[in-house]
Amino acid sequence: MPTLESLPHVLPEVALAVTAAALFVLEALWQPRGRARRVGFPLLALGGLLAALLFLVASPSSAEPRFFGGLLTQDPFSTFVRGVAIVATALAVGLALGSPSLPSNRRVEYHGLLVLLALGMCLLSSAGHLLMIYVAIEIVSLTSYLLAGFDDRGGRSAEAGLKYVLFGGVASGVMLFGFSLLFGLFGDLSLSGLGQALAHSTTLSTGAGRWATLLALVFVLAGLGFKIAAVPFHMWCPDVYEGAPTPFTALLSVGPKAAGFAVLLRFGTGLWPELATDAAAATSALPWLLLLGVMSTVTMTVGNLAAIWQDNLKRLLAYSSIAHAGYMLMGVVAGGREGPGAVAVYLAVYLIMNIGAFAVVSAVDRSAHSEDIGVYHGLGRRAPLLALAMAVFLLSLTGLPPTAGFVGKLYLFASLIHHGGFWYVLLAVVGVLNSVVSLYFYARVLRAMFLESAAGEPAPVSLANSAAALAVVLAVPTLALGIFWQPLAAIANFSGSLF
Amino acid sequence: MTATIFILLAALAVLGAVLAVLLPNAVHAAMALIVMLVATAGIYLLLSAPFVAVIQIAVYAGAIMVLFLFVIMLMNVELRIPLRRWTLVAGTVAGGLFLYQTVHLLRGVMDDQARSGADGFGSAHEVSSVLFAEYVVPFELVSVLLLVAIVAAVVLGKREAA
Amino acid sequence: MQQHRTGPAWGQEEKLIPLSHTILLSAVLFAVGTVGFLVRRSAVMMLVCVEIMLNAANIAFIAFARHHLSMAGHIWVFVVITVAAGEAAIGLALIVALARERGTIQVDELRSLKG
Repeated sequence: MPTLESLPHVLPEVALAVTAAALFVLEALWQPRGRARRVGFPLLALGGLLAALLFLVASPSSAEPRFFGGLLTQDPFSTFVRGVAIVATALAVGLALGSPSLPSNRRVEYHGLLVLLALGMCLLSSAGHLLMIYVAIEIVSLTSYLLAGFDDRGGRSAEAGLKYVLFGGVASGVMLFGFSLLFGLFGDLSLSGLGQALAHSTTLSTGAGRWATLLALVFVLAGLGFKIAAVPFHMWCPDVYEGAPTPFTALLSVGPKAAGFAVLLRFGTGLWPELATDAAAATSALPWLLLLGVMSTVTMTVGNLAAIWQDNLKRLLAYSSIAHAGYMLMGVVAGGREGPGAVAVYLAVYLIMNIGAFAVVSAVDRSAHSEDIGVYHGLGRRAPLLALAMAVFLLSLTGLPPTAGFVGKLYLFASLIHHGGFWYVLLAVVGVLNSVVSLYFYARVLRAMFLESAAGEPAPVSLANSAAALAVVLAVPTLALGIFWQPLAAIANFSGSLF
Repeated sequence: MTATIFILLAALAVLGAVLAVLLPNAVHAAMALIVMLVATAGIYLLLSAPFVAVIQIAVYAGAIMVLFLFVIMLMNVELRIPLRRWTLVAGTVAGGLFLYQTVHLLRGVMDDQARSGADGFGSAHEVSSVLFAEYVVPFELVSVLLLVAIVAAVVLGKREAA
Repeated sequence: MQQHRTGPAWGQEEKLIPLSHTILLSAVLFAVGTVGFLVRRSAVMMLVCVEIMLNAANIAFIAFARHHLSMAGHIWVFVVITVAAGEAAIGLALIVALARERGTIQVDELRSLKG
């Protein structure tokens, strides 16, 4: 579809860009003080995000899914992931209200950057062209580097930002080299063009050609693996999560990961269109699936085992988010219609429970000024509501019934088992074993909250802030979706198709 | 003639890159990088990409490297930080293997036939007609990227030291 | 062959540089940049090594662009150079902020986050 006719389909992105521009310009020209500043700007950001969400829901359906001459591809899956990205950003705006980890004179820039980050994530999840993937990844990355280094109390945050920039720069450099090899081997940059070239090219008929293609794919996977924090591209993750301001860490653990998974799925189905319909028929996609399968196994195992030794809640949740990337990779490996559907369900669940868990960390941090597991001792007595919400999130992250996390994991395992085949079932078994291991460290936090009493006279935990309120609110759907999972089934049905 | 110029420029680029990696003094290393960037611009000219060559010199060797040099000179931090020696040895071996592998693989795949571009291939006119027709969306989005970089400079530059 | 005005005159008459030469150069620069990133301990120099890697990919794009006679490679390099500028600006701004707080840009000494 040519440029002008495509515009109505990117209204959400336009709304986000306009909102961000409005925030920056208003701050520069008007410089309001007091309440207008504290409340007005977050409300403006939230309004922009809401408008984007409405445009997204009301976006006209089109028989032709490719826009701007194939630069963007919009299908139910990308629509869903764009929704996840926008909602996650809105939650991060809510978490930031009154948070001490954001410098008070820089809040407007913080909100503007969050909106730009949402713009990048939306573009990333519908990019159908290598250049669009690159530009969108860089928008997401550059914004994230800056937001990770936003906290100006002490050097922890700037250190996190710097480590993020260095790792991110290398990852995107390696990915770029992989893209250049793909361009050289197949002479095209759009995913659909690459898919056709792969199907008809003689390159794959020679041994050297197959190895060269594999090399290019490994390089591309390095860049995408970095975005979803999959092992072995995860080293930045714990440090950045710990150092970044907590409201942003919550978003970082969900939004860019969701967009990264969208790219991963679209890349796979773009290059091997059979993957989207009948995963078993895609024999030429075997090396790609093998890479992803191995990555999935290693990622969840390393994430879960490393999480056992963590005493800092943010680091623990960082390793847990690495493990969850491994779980979601199972859905990518399964392919077909069920795989993306399962990934979408898990993303929805993960959005609620992980941001919820970070909201609790943020709420406790506001009173105790620490994320160490020690300050959670006796939380069950000091702040029962908050501790209860945290318990729900942790059980859901483990995947125990009756929480939403259980339903999400069920969809992922089912997609693999329905696919059949020894290796697929084995991967599902590894996933189940990993969930058992993860129970150990999540339960450690539960024990600290409910069974151990605090040493000395701990500071009282206040519930009167946005983070605590958000945590309690998010705990409700985490439980409810575990009992009434029809909405999740609808998500799986809706977003299972990619093209 | 062309081949000789190419080999000279390529040698210069590799020399610049190796020196940028090995020179202990950050200012010297940045200078070596500028040599590499300018040599690369020459190679772009040989590969019929005159517009990109100009951009390379103006933006890359010019603006970006000035930024690097400015920061290096501005900061009163220790400039001579030693290399990790054992990583250097291991990295050189691994890098050599990688090179051998890549070149070997690509040799078997691509036809080595050099092609000359059509009339005007790579000129500013050609670049702009493709950029503003087919790739106008990424072009606009790059401005978002630059906006983020500007905001970064404002936010990080103006914060009070602890 | 007729010479065009904008291209280099000497690029046209003789039969040009083989693709394998340029790809070899690109791969060498990429390897040097990657090794450099692992070897250097100063954050500024690690960023410099990232620039070398980006440049290596750019050379490959330009070479492949002529191989396939597709202008897309040139557009790509144009975008990469802009992205590199943005990345360098943010990276250097973070380095300056950190150096003001800690007085060091040596990555080994950044240990307030365990890892």
